[in-house]
Amino acid sequence: MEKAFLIDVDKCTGCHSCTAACMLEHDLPEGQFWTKIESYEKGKFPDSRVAHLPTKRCMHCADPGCMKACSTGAIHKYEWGTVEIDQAKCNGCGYCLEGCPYNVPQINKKTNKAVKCNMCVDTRMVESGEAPACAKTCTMDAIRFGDRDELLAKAKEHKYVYGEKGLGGAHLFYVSSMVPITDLGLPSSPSVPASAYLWKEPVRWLGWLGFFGAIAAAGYQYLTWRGKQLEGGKDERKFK
Amino acid sequence: MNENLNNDSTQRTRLLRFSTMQLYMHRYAMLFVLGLIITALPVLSKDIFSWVAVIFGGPANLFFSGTDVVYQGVNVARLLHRILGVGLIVLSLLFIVWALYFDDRKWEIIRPRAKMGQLYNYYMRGIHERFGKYNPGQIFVFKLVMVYVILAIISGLVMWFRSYFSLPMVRFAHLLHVVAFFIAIAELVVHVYFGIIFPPNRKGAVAMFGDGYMPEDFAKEHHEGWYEEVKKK
Repeated sequence: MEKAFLIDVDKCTGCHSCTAACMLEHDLPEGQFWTKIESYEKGKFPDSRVAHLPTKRCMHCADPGCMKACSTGAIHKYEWGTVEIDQAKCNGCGYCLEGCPYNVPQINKKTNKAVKCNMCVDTRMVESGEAPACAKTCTMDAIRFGDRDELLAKAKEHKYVYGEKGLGGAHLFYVSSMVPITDLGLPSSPSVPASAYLWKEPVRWLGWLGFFGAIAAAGYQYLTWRGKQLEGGKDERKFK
Repeated sequence: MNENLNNDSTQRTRLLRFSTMQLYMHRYAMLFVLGLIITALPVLSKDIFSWVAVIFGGPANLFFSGTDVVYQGVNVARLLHRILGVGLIVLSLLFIVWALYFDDRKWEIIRPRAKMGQLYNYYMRGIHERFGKYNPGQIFVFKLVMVYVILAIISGLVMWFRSYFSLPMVRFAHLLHVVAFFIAIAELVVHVYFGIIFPPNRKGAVAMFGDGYMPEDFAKEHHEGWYEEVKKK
C-alpha cells in the first residue's frame, strides 16, 4: 500500500512544531530543515490573508528526478513510495540538486552529503502506517499521513490540489479551499529541469548515435577504399 | 639507431613532419583524454558502466573496507577525473603559449587551404588531391578539438566549483559537459580510424609516435603542397 502526506494549507497556523519535531527526530544541524514554514501574505493588514506552507519537504515523486541524476545509486525508492538518500552511499556530488524541480535536496555541510526528508523510514515503521514525526506532532492536524489512495480521495474534496501530477505523481499533496497552491512558491507544472533531463535521456542517445555513426562511417570508408583497391589492381594513383 | 637516422641515405628519404613539442603535446593529450574518458564513464551512466566503477572501487576497497564498491569506484573516478582535468588545462595553456610564440608555422592548422569536397574525392572516390601540410579533415578535426576542449574545461570548472554558481547554471554546464564528451567520442573514433586503422595513412602515425619523420614519397602523395614547399628551401 502506497503511503502519502496530505497537507491542508488552510489548517496550518505556522506554529513550526513540525520543523522542531523533524529536527529532533533526525538530529539536524542548526540552519538545516527538511520541513520549513514559509508564510505568504496577500494584501495589506488588516485586509490581508496569510497562508502558511510547510515547504522544503520532499514530494516523494513516483518517478524522482533526483534518483535519475544520482551518480552512485544512493537514492532509492521503497515500494510504498518513500524516496530515501542512503547516507553510506552518497558522495555529495550534488547531481540530485540539479535533478529536483522543487529544490528539495540540500548538501549537509558537516558530512558533505545530500540530505532531505525520508518520511522517517529510518526511525519509524512508516510502511505499516506509523506517522512520521511531523504528522504526529502537527497541532492542527494539518499534516496527515496514510494510504495514498485514501488521502488523494480526501484531497479532491478541496478546491486546489497540488502534487497529483508531475514526475509520475507525488506522495505528498498540498490542498486548500482558499488559496491556489501554485501562488505559494511551488512550480506550477513540475518536471525535471530541461537541462538536467536532456543529458540523461535524448543527448545520451545522440551520443550513442555519434559513436556508432562514426564507426559505421569509418567502416563504410574502409569498404569503399578496399573495393576501389581491388578494382584498380596495380593502379598506382588510387589510394597509396 | 641514431647513426642510422643520421645516415645520408636515410635522411634524404625522410622529412621532418612534427616537432618535438608537437610529439609530446600529442602524447600527453592522448594520455589525459583517454584517462578522462575512462573516469567519466561510471559517472555518465550507473546502469551501463558500473563495471568501470567496480574496477576502480575494488582496489580502493582494500583500504576502506566495509563500503559499497560502486560508491568507492565513483569516488575514485571523480578524483582521478579532476586530476587529469587539471593536467589537460595545463597542457592546453602550454599549447596556446607554444602556438602563439614558438610555432614557426603560426597556427597554420586553423587556416584552411583546401575544401572538404577535396577530402571526399580523396578518401571516397580515390582521386588524387593536392593538400598542404594539413588536409581539410585534419584542419576540421583540430578546430573541433579546440571547441570541445574549451567547452569541457569551462563547464567542468563550473561543475567543480558548483557552490559559487546558481543551480540553473550548473545544470546547463552539466549538459554542455556531456555534449562536449559526445562530440569528443565521435571525433576520436574518426581520428583513430584515419590515423592508425586506415592502412594508407599509417606512416603519419609512425611519425607521430616515433621521431617525427615521415618518408618522402608518403609526404609527396598525401601532402603535395607541403612537400614542394619543403623541397624548395
